[in-house]
Parts: sequence; structure tokens; C-alpha cells
Amino acid sequence: MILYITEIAKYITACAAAIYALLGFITLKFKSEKRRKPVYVILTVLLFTILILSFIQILVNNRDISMLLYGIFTAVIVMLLISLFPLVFPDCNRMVLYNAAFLLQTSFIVLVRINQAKGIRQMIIAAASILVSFLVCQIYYKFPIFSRIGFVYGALGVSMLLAVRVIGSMTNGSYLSVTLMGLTFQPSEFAKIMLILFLACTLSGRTDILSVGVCFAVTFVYMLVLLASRDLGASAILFVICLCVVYLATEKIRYLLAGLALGGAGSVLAYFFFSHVRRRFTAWIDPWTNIDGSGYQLTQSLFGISSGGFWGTGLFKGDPSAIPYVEDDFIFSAVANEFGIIYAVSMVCICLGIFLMMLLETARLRDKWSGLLDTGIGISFIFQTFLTVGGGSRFIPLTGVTLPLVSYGGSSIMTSMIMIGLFQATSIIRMDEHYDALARYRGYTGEG
Amino acid sequence: MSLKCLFRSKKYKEDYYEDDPEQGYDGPDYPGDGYDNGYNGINHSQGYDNSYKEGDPSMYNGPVSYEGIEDIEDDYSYEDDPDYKRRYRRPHKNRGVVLLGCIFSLLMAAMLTYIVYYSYSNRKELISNSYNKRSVQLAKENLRGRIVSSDGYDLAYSEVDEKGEDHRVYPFGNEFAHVVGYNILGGSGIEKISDYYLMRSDASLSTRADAMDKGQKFPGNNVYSTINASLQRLAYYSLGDYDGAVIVSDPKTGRILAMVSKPDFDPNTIADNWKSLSQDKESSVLLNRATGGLYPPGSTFKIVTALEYIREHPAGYNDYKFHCQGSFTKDDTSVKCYHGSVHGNVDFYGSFAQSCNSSFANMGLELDQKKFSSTLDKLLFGHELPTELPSAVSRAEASKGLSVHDRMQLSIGQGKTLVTPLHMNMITMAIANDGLLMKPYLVELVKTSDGHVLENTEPKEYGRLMSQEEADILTEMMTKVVEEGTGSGLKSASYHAAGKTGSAEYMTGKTDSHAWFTGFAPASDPRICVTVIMEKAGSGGRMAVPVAKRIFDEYFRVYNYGD
Repeated sequence: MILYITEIAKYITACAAAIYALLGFITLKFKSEKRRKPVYVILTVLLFTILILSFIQILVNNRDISMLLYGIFTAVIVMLLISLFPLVFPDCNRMVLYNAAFLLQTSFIVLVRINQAKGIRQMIIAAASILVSFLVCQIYYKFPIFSRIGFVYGALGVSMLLAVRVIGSMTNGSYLSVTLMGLTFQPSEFAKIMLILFLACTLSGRTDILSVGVCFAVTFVYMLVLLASRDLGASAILFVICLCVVYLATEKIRYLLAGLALGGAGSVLAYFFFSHVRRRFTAWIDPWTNIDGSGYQLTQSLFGISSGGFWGTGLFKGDPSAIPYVEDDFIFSAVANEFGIIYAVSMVCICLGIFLMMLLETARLRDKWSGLLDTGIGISFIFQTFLTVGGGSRFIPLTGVTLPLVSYGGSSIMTSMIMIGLFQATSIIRMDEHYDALARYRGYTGEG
Repeated sequence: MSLKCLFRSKKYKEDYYEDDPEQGYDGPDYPGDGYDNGYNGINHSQGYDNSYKEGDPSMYNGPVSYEGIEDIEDDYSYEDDPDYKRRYRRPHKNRGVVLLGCIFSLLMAAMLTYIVYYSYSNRKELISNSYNKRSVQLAKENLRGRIVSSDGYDLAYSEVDEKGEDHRVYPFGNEFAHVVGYNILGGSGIEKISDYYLMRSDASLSTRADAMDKGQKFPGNNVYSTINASLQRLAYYSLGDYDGAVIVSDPKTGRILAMVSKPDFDPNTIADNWKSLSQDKESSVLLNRATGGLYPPGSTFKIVTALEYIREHPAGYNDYKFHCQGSFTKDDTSVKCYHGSVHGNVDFYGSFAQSCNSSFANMGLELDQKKFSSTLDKLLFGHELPTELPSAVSRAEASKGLSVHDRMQLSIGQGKTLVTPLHMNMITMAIANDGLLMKPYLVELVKTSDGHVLENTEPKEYGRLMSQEEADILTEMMTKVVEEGTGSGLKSASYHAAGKTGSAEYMTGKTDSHAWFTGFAPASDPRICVTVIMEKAGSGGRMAVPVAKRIFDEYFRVYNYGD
């Protein structure tokens, strides 16, 4: 009987995830929240189907009734995001909230399964982050002054990064985190938001060569500090964000091409200057010859992705703990292992859905600051997803960044939620523009 | 300037509804939206006329359709509005948005396709890797499946003892040691090829539920091999005390019916004897000589030399004449016939049937080395063999830079030339199958424990090694070997065999030789190919041919009997 339940649950979960991702793409076609409404009903059903089936599997295998509490807590957090947020901000973009909810829920389930302590910590941080995102959304919508203080963001970001160099603690050979009042922060994550805000502020005004130069200069300062801390993944993300935002603001393809050339040259230089870059590169080219040493992480990740097959091994039937750093950098492999490749691919498609939705909002926004902000946030999401999933599957060399909203990590989840809060603020601004235009139209045609 | 300018004002929405009481807000459009109780989520502070009072019917007239708004939004008709154009001109940023969207979507699509493709197509290799702990997990869940021979014998199965631990049992022990292999310590043979299926259980849910209820492990998938147990045992015992290898295959499908390698070991006790077996460098017991042993091909290589000669002299090969005096000398280097025999006047067929080294050395010097090199390349020399078993790469080199000595040595399969028995068998298979080589395979079927077929190996063509005419000529030549040449031990009433013997000298300056035979029967409609190599046994005609004969005899006895 138990076997029947767990086996069938496995298939239904994978199918539900695939439909979820598909509906996410279909929803992009509908411009208004009203038309998306029937989709949201289905998405809610799918989300809770996955949640219930996953916790049934966890209960069957763990036989610990306290797991039920985790399940309820997950449901509450998901509800917080998909129900409370639209209640407070009726003009927000619910599709992005649903996609974020899916990622968060997956994160909770996988983390509870791998490491309960980390799972519950993640849930608490996520709940707090969602509340912070409410605040961020309200503040940024309410006070347009925040769209004009680019220099503040620029300075704040650099000082954060410098602070970590001065008072930061060393983990795994890199200065990445700073501990304040018992909480550990990774300022590089917050610096990312600061950079996006800075770029949006600077480029929403003038887009001449001078402002572009300033943008690149500030980005390089950020990157230099990060490279000094040997955080290569974060600096790559910042660079790509800068490149894409500059391109979108100026509409000049030459910036994109020049930036790509620069990025390529930078990677080659990094290869010659940093020994750990070389090590990662050789591990990427051939992880098999040194399977005991430098190739260990990557090969274990590949085993994890492959051995679950399309439908996954089922929760508690796989062995995600065999992969080092599975909760952070290799969470995709853990999901692929136990939930199956179909689920894992759907999850990445949902990340892509968030990105495309943000780009669509950019296209529809009149307010340039909001549009550039959306692009920056979207690029940050998708490029980070690309780096971590591609790195774990040997598509590109490993960079060691987190999968937004899924990986374990307080700073990562906090910044992701803040970015979603910022995005929602721009969504509301977009709706305002819409109402404005509508009112104007009514006035002209004399319908009003 | 008042502090108000710091706040974003949200006037339009309220203006709109107040201007148009008939076009009010319809509840469900924006869930949770609080227009009807005085919407104030964002803008209560200032910026619009606050005259609206909650519940005041004069201000707000209840639910009205939202349809009009939808249409307008989708048409974007207000964009035609000149005032709108002037004041809200939007930058042409859609092109950039589309480009970025496409770039990243394509990047993600490429990555996901790669992940799915890579992990699916490499799933078998990845799961068999000894660093993959997944196999340990599977071993806990499933009882490893059986390996069954084509005539229905269990070649390997797992047994659960009283303590509940399972052991792998190989009922035939040494006889199938290399071909069936073992599943511990990295694995080998069919155990390794089909590891993916054997360790998994794809039985139906009800079968697995039954096993679970009984407290047993799930039954693993069973592998049905192409190996014929009776032929394998016959080949094993026919080889006697000699080291070497025997391969029996079906040229029309590529099925391998028997594969023997000696010296051998007992897979049942491999874990205990591992140390002595793996450290034994001298006799390499663990090496499957049939696929991994590199031997000088000796006269069996004359098949290749003859093929090249036919290719270069399509009309004139039959006019070839040579007078053999027991040895052939050119530029101070000479080649002797086997044990100094003198063949006298021989033609092309005669040279081949009598296996005249002198004649072939002479022929070899006439060959165009460039063309010969491409023929060797096409016959898979210097390439991995298209087979699932790990095999060694055969070596035979023809090039313009070769000395006369090397050219003569090459043409009689001595010198630096080395082949694996499987490779020789595959060349024979191609000749027997009108020039077309079928990919050799060992696993016929994989079934779940309740009989559902998971994988059915279809015979696959590898490609054409030679034309049909060339194959026919070679068949005729090999028939003559049996009828009037070195393979006359195979003359038999019930079937007509074709083949080539070889006595390959393996140490320069000594006359000791490995005994080779490779051939097939019946010559007119070949059903099986047999390749025999017996190390240090002497003459191929005397030692290897009788082994092949016993296999042919047994096969056709059973075949005629059963048909």
C-alpha cells in the first residue's frame, strides 16, 4: 500500500510541476491579471498537490509526526506569498509570486528532507523575507525619491563589500560573509541589489557615453572588491547585469558586443591569475580523471542528476547527501535526483518564467527607472540560475553561486525576496500608468 | 515645495471611477482590491480628492462590467492619442527586450536540453561508475537479476542466505568466467555491460508490492544473453590445456554464441582471490583474451592481403603465378614458408590454400601501400571495435615509408602486426555475410522479473567492409583452404566449411607459433563463424582446426536435429 502511494505520488508530482511550468509560460500571453485568474486557480491546486504528496512521502519514510508541522508551516508561507501579497497590493503581478512560491516550496521540501534543522531555518528566514518584501514594495512604490539617489546605492554597495574585507570571516578560503549580532550576512548578495538600483537610477536619466562609463566604472569597482575576495561567480553576475541594463537603456548593440569581448578577455585573465579558476576549469574539462579530488563534486552532482531518471527516485529513496554542498550550490542535483529530471527541468523553466515576466513588464512600462530595475532583477535571477544549474551539470565551469529562492542561505533568500518586492513595486507603477492612460483615453473619446 | 512631492500620487484610478459612476469596479477583477471599501492601500495620504465616502451610494454605484477596460488595454488604442504620444512617448526598448529574452531563453533551452540528453544517454555508464553510491542504494532495495543463456541456463543469479544477505552465484564457474564476468571490484563481462538493468527493478508495482509484503527485496531485471551454454562449454573443453580464446558468432545477426578465454578463474571466489589474480602480470588471468588479447595474426592475415591484391587487380588476380622454393628473398631480407615447406608452382588460389609465405611476401611487395593503408583502415585496424565489451585496438600499418622487410612481414601477418581474436572473427563475419558486418552483441533481451521486455537488441549493421564480389571470391578461396589446403581437417560430409589457418610466430628467431583458425560454415549459406587461437600450440592446421571442427560438428548436429 505504502509502495503504491509513494510511487504514484512521484509521477503525479513530476506531472504537476511540468503543468505548472507550462501554465507559467501560457500566462505570459495574457496581459491583464483578470485573464490570468483561472490559471491561478489551477496553479494553487497544483502547488498544494505537490506539497501534500511530498509531505505524505516524507511522513511515510520518516514516520515522525512533527513533519506534519513542517508541512503546515510550508503551506502558511506559500499562502503568505500567493494570497496575502495580492491582498495588500492588489495591482501586483501574481504570476511572479506564484512562480516564487513554487521555488520556495521546493526549497523547503528538499531541505527538510536533507537536513531538518536547515529546513526550518530556511522557512523562518523566508517568512521574514516575505514580510521585508512587503515593506520594500510599499516603500519603493510610495517614495519616488528612491529612484533618484543612485550615488547612495553605489556608495552603500561598495562600503558593504569593503566591510566584508575588513571585518569579514573566512570560509572555504574566501572572505564572503560578515557576522552581526549572531546573524551571518553575505554582503555580495546585497551589493547585487545596490548595483541594480544604482544602474537603474543612473541610466534612467541620461544615457550618453558618460553615464555608461560611470556605470561600468562602478561595476568594475564592485567586481574588483569581489575578485579580491575570490568571489568569481558574484562578479560575473554583476558584470552581466551591468551589460544587459546598459544595453537596454542605450539600445546600442555595440555596448553588448564590447562587453562580451571584455568579459571573454576577463575570463582568460582570471584563468591565468587565479589558481582556483584554473582548478575549476580543469575539473570542468575532465572531471573523471581526478574523480577523487578536484572532480569529486562535479561527478557526484552528475551522478545525482542522472541516477534519478525522468521521474526521480522518490523522496528519501535517493542519496543527495553524497554531493558536497548539496544544499547550496548543488540543490538542483538534489531536486533532479529525488524529484526527477522532469521536475528539475520544470523548476528551471519556472525561473525562466519569472525572468520573461519581468522583461515583459519592462516592455510595458513607461517609467524608465522601473523598466531598468525590472531588467536588472530579471537578469540577476536568470543568470544566477544559469550559472548554478549549468555549473552543477557540467554545461559550464562551476562558479559556486546559489539557485535563487531554492538554495539554502539566508542572504540569498532575503535578497531574492527583496528583489521580488522591488519588482512588485514596479508592477504597481505599471498599473498606475495603465489607469492613467485609460483615464486619458476616456476623457478624449468623451466616454467618461 | 511641500513634502508631498516626495510621495508618488495615485490619482488616476480614483479619478476614473469617480468620473464614471456607471463604470465602477467589479469586485472579482482584482482580488482583495478594496475599491468598494475605500481603496487606501497605497494612496490614502494625499494626492486625490478624498470626497469619496464608504458606502455612499451617490458616489459609487456597485458592480459594473470590466469588459470595456479589457478591450482597451489589449488594443492600446490610447496610444494613438496625440497628447499621450507627446507626453508619454516611450523609448523604443522593445527590440532590446526581445533580444535579451531570446538570448537567455535560448541559453536556458540549450542547457536543459544538454542536461536531459547527457543524463539520459549516459545513465548506464554513470550508474556503473564505482564512485556512484546510487548502486549501493539500489543493491539495498533490489535483488540483482539473473543472467540467462540462450538455451535457458542460469549463468549468474543472486541467492539470499539465512542472514538475509545476498550472494552472487555463478553455476558454471570457470567456463563462463570472462564473458559473464563479475559484478564486484569494478565488474567485467555481461555483469558490467548490463549492470544498469541488473541492479534495477522495473517490475510492475504489484510484483514489487508483493515482494515488500513478504519482506523481500524487489526482484531485479533479468538479462538474456546470446551465449549458447552448450557451445560455450564445448569450446571451453575443446581448447584443452592451451591458453587462448575461442569466439563463435552468427554472421547474419552479430550474435556472439560463445566466447572463451583461457587461462580462467572462478568468479564465485573472485573476492577472495582478487589479490593474487590482479597481481598476476605473467599470465593475465583476468584479461579476456577474446576481446583484449593482441596476437600476431600470422597467415590468417593473408585474407586481408589477398583482399587488397584483388582490389588492385580486379581482372588479373587470377593470372597470378609464383614459383615457391621454400623461401623468398629481396634486398637481403627473406621470408620462409612454414617449417621450410616448398610449394612449387602456385597460382593465386593455391598460394592462399597452401598458405605460401613466399608467394604472399612477393604479392605484398607489389601492393600500393597507400591503398593498402586505406583498406586496413576500413577493416578497423587502428580503431576501437564497434562492440559493448572493452576491446584492444588491432595494429597493422602500411605506408610508403615501410622497408621491404616490413612490407613482406605485413603481408604475412607477422612483424608489428597484431590483432584481437574478436577482430579476426568480425572480419570473418563480414566475409560470411556478403561483405556486410553486423555489430557483435552479447545481450539479446532484458526483461523485468515478471516478463515485461525492457530492451530488445535488434541486429544492427555496422557497415560494409568489402563488396559482395570480393566476399564471394574470399569465400571461394577459404573453401579451397578446407578442400585442398591447410584446413583439410575440416573436410566433412555433412557441411562445407570455409576458413583460413594460421601459425603465427610470436618471437623473432624462433619457430614456435600460436595456432590460428578462423572460418565459417556452411560456405554457401553461412550460419556460424568460429575463430580459434591457441597460444604456443604450433600449427594452426593441426591444432586449431580440430577445435573448430568440434564446434561446427556440435552446432550442425543440434541444428539439423532440431530443425
